[in-house]
Amino acid sequence: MATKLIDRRPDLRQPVSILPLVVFRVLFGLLMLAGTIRFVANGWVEAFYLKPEFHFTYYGFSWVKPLPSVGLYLVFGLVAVAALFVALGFMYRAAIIVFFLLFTYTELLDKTYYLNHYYFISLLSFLLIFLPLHRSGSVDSWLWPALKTDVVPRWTLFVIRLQLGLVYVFAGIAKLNGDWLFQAMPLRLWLPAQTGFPLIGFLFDYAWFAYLMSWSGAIYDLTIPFFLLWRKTRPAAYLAVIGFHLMTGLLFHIGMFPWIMIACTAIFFTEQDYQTALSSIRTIFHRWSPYIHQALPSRLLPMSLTLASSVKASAGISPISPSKISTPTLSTATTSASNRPSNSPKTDRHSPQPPQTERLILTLLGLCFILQILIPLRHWLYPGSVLWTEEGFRFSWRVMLVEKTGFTLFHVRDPQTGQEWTVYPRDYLTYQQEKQMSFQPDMILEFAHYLEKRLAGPHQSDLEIRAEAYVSFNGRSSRLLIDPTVDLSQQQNSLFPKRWILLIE
Amino acid sequence: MNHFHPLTPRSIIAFSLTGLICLLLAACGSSAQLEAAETQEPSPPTAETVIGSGFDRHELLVNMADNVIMPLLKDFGEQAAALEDAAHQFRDDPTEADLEDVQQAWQQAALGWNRLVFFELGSFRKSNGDLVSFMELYNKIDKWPTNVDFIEKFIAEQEAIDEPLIDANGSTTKGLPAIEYLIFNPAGNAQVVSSFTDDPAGQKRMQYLVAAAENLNHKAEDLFNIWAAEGDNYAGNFINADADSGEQQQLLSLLVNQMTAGLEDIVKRKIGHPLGKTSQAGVRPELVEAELSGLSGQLLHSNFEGLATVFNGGQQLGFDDYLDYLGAEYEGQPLSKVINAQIETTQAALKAIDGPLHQAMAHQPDQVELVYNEARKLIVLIKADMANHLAVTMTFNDSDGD
Repeated sequence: MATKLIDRRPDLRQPVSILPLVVFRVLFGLLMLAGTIRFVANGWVEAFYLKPEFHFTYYGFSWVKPLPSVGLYLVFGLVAVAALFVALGFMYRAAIIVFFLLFTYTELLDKTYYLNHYYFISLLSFLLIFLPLHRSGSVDSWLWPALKTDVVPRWTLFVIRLQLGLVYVFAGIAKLNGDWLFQAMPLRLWLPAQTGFPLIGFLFDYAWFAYLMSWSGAIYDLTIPFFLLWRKTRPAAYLAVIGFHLMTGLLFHIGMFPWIMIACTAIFFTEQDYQTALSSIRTIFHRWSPYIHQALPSRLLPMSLTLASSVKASAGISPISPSKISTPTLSTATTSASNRPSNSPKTDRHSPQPPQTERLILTLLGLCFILQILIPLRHWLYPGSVLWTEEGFRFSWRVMLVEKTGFTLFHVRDPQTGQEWTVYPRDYLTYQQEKQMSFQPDMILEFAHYLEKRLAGPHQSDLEIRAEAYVSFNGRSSRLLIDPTVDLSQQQNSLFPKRWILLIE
Repeated sequence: MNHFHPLTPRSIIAFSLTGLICLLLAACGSSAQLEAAETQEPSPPTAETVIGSGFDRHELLVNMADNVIMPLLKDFGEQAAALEDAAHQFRDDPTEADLEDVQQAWQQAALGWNRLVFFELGSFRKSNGDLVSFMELYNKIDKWPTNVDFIEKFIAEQEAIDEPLIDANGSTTKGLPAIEYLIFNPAGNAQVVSSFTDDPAGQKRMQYLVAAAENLNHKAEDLFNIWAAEGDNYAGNFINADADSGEQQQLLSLLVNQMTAGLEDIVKRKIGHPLGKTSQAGVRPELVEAELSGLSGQLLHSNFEGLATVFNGGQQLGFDDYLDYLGAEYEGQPLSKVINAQIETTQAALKAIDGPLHQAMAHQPDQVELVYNEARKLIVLIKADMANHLAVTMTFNDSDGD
């Protein structure tokens, strides 16, 4: 029958246990809290946002400016509080909206500090606004019992898994380039500097090991989401996730990123996985300590297992419909439910998201994901290698792909007097700003415009500014990145290709 | 579960993943065995397969501390002590001959000092918890231009001047540049001697000179003691740097970073500013370092000597060897050779200048410009090329990377 075909298709509205979402919410909230405290404690608010006289802005977001000291610290304080509230599930929607807006605000202040994992957190917190993470194991569900549910429609889990999957897969696709695969660059530069690494450090001197790491890294990124989806490989895959991120975390200074990825990837575990883990723990304790064994719950969320198994057993042919288990979820709107008379109107009333709202949310999230698939591919619209020109580099999960170092000087000319002089950008920028600008064309352009404004006196309104930017990239000899004859003060920043970037083969 | 399709591509990937994990585990296992044996070193691999061939960064750091930094500090300590002695001598017997001794001693100290500029390594905490800023100490020894007006006012207004008073004053009123101001005068040495003797404030001027020389010697001792084993033992950080925790790489980063920042500062301020390269004010010879003594060119030369010493690790293991081990190339040539050649080219251009730099700004502007341009090429080679191969930006401990 045709129903069989339909039933085999994963139903996005099928009710599944909320447990993975609850675990995710707590881990995410706590990590964000820790990350924010770490950021402030390291003095980075001061060093990154308050100290510099100039900030590199994102295209279209130049209006985003750092607040004065007190205000900015208040923002970071609010981010921390919002993260804590998210973890607790207290006033969840408000907390996650505040977190998304304020966290994203701080990230937009200066692109010197752009990191893929900050972008990831912004995206994720945006998605979380639309997900019912607070409907169990939360202060909210305790204060408002009507909110409490043990099941959620499957798409709520799917959204987060898709987000993680996209990150991994695009990070993997980005590694499919000549430097990474056939030169083992930049790992070949980075690894020999880390030969002190415990146990396997001595291998870092060997070229074959850099190749092994490059290739296994690419394969890992490209395949890990699928291994995580498949129940049989899931435990091994998660071990690989932990191993991979711990290793990169120890090797390279990438801050919270490994922990965030390890925690977020736990979303791939289903409630069944948790129950299996719990029962094995119970078995162990049963043997060694009956007291603890008795103290342990037999179920993590009593309702959900029954439901999950019954739904599984029913598999479309059983008369038990999701709505019959009196779950206040969106599943009441599923196709299977639609041809049955609803026998739990109460449930429907308690459901916070009517079908239209759900459809709207799914459409919105769908658009968001379509954009996310297009954005990392936009570099095809620009000439030359994206790794060199950095046009279409950001927001594309190009992680750890380049070792770049540069030295940029700005030559200023006053056309009225014919006077020429040179600006050393370090006089205006912090160490980190100068380092990042020296190899990123859009930042060089933005600084040139800043210089024009900054140097313009009453008689020099129209200074010419040219950049002499030498860049060394993945072990290649340094060479000019910017056409030194082009007056950057005449060039507008836009999303169109920057013709004044000198391409490499 | 049986409703899964027996997908072959999946199982292929599953096997390959398992294989990769096994490989990594095997790698861990074999190295663990190696560590357990403790005597065996990995056999020397062939040149083609090796990137670093077990380059001994520990040896580089030990060499840098023992054979490069400490001797330079010892030299400067002696030069500063000699300058103090000469100042005392001159105070007791203010003649032109004794003034010349002071000037000689000052020149030696200034030349010695300029070889040390690449060891201004940020700040660190002493064992008693005090924070030591190299920059602060370096400024107290050599911050130019010196504040001439303040010095004259101080001499005129104070009743008596001694070392603690000088110590309490700002960096631009003491150290090498302040002493230079007091003992050199283009009008001639007779003029200088008379400023110490005949002038109504001559005695206080002499007190200022002596106090500044004493203060400089103290600072030189302070700096030496920060590094010395019998003092705060900062050199011990180099010698005992733990490879496992990344300390070695951090120190290498620190050294390379200071080579870059120091060189850029020297090129910009010592040549660029007076040559009119950095502003629209045109050539301003008075902006050269050490104009009064006319030593500007030699001091620059000293800077490049210092750079070559750090880069080559003196006669022994240095960054040049490290780059060679890494196989770093520039346009087909070994990068280490290219950098050394560029240092030599810059120094040769500098040597071709006759007389003090501020005079050359007028007489040989093209030659000075040549020095400037060659030195800028050197910055590119060190800041872009060398830093890239040594991957030192990765671990510079100021924020997260990705």
